[in-house]
Amino acid sequence: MLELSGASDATLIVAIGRWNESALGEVYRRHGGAVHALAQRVLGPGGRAQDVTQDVFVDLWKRPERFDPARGSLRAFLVTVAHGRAVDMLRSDTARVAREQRTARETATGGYDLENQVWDLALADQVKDAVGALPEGERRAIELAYFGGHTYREVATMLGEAEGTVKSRIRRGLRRMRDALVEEMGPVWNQT
Amino acid sequence: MESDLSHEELVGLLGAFALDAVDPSEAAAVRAHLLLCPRCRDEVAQHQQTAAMLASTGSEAPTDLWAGIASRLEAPNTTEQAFPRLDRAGRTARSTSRRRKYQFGLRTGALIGAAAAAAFAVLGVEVGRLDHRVNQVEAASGGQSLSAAARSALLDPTASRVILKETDSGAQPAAEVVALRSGAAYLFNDRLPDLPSAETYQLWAMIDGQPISVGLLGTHPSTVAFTLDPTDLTNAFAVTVEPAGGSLAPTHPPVASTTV
Repeated sequence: MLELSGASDATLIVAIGRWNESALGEVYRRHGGAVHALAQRVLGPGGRAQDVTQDVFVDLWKRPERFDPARGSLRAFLVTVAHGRAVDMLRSDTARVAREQRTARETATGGYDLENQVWDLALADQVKDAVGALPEGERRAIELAYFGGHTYREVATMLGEAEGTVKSRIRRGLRRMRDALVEEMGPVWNQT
Repeated sequence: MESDLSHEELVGLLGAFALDAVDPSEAAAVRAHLLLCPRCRDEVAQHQQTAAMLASTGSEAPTDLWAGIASRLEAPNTTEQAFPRLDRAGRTARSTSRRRKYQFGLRTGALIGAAAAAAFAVLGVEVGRLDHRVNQVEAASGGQSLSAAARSALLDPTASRVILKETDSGAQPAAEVVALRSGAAYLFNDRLPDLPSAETYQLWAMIDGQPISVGLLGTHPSTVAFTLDPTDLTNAFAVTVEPAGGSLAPTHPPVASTTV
């Protein structure tokens, strides 16, 4: 009998592959909070974020083989899937107006401020530090793209910057964050 | 998919791609590139891992959502289609799509008909579940011939694995079949040597005691996709050398086989 609470994520995925619903429940218990928080951050509170959260775990049930442990943690995989779905939803025609209104409001009020508003819960200090160490331009580009669900072209327009500049800042900022996390947390930085 | 973007341009998009912040056409170009470029694949994975840290707010999973998830947990439809194969009558056929809950497996222990057993000399069988054979996948990823789908199959924890061994005295592992519960399957060749152009390797599944062709492997197989009917009780596999174009029934003893 599989002891779920002590099982590794990889073990749980194998169990899910064998149609073990309890294993999926354990994965949800571990990572559902992060997935839902991300969906809410992108879509706002409400049914759409809940739909995305549920879809992510139903998808994992149907296609557990899509998770490749060689490419990163299970949480990162689930969050990445959730982000893609949330952004797709955000970019749908019906959501566009609401998104633009929300973007205008949050951009005006600094609502995308990673350092001060997004990380107000139990985020690890190391991640806070890594985000805080980013140059302002890189941080803004990442937050508008990741949490705002905007393309880099849209971000460039919003910030009045060249598209290439924004593209480079996103990539450079992500690398800078990763380097800082590796330095602070060592090689296990991504074993969340 | 062909892309007009240079490698440098594609690399420049990797960060934005990892954040789902590129246009659909750019996303398609990057995805196509990632299939061929391990370095860029690694970079995207690292970016995604980094971005995912931003979601680690420490909040608990909402308990009220679980009921909605649990109510939707069914076995998926088997929708994958792969290599056309020859059915019993020699016609090309595809696996039928059926809704079944985990009934597919390479089941050993069942009887093979005496005649078929005589035709397919038995030498040993290894059937097992794939429990995240990361090491193997990592090694295989170094070869450019392994498709993303085959690689995914190797990682599938629900897949079944069968080793085909040479039928000569050495009985060395010659090839491996990895089968998904959907019916999609892959043969990974380890030792089968190249054949002259007038011949082809042909893969046979033993179903209900009869050898059924599941695909032509060509003269120098590396990784070959084919389809199994998940409802069939497959007892064993064998590879024979046949005239180019294949045969409706084996015309030679197998060069590699599993057994029961």
